[in-house]
Amino acid sequence: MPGDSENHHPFLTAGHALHRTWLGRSEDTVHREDPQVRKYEFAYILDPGLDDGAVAESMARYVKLIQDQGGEVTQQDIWGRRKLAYEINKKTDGVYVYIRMRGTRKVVDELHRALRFDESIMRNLIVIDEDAERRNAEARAHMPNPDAVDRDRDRDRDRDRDRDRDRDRERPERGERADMRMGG
Amino acid sequence: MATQRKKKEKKPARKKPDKFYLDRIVVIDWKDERRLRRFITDRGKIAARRITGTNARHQRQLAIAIKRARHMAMLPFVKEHYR
Repeated sequence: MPGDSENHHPFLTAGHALHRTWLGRSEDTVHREDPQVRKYEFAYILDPGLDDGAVAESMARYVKLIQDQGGEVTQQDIWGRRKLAYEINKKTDGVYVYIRMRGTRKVVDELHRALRFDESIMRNLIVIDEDAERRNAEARAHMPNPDAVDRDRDRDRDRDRDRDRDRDRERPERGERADMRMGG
Repeated sequence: MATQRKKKEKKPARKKPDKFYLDRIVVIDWKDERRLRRFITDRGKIAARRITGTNARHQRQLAIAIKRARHMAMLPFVKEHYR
C-alpha cells in the first residue's frame, strides 16, 4: 500500500519482526516489498466434507499459486483427516495440508489474499520455517547426551552444597538458642 | 525453660532439569503435538515454568509453539467439559 511506508519502524522493516508474533504475520511492521527469500511453512485445515480428489486439487492450486509468484515448493503433504481439539464451524474433524516453501514476502501476501476467499479452508498458518525436524535430529546426533553428563555433575554439586550448608549452619544456630534462653 | 524444638529443615527445592535440554531439542516445533501436550495443564493452560522446570528461553519458544498448535486446532484453548 502506498503511504504506509512512513509508519514503518526503522528497525523492524527488515522482516525479522516476523519471528516475534506467534502467527508469523505482522503486516504492520514488516515491509511489504521485502525482497528477501525465506523458508516458510504453510499449513491449513480443509473442510472434512471434501473428498480426496478435492483435497489434492486444493493443494495443487496453492502449490501452483506459490510457483506463479516465484516461490519454490520443497515439500507438500496431506496429513489427512484428524480430530480437531475444538469445534470450528460446528465441525469436529478437518483435513490437514502441509506445504514447505521458499519465497519472498510477496508470495506470503498473495497466499493470505487467496486464503481469504477460500471458503473450504477453516484455518491456515504461515510461519517462518525453522527446520525443526532436521535441526533436532542433528542435535540428537551431535550433542552429548545431557542425561549422562549431568547426572554425575549434579550429584557432585549437590553433595558439596549440602555438606557446606550443614557446616555453615551449625554455629549461628547454637548462638541463637543461647540468646533466647537468657531472655526467657 | 526453653523448648528445644528442632527447626524443620527446609531444603531448597531441587532444581528440575529443563526437558528440552535433556531431550536435545533445539527448535520447539508447533507440529510436535505429543510433546507440547506435556506442557499444558489439564485445563489446557500453558504450564508455568516453576512446574515444568523449563528454562526461560525454551519457555518463550514453547509458548509460541503452543499458541500456533492451538490455532491449528491441535491443542485446546480450554477444555470445555471442565468445571
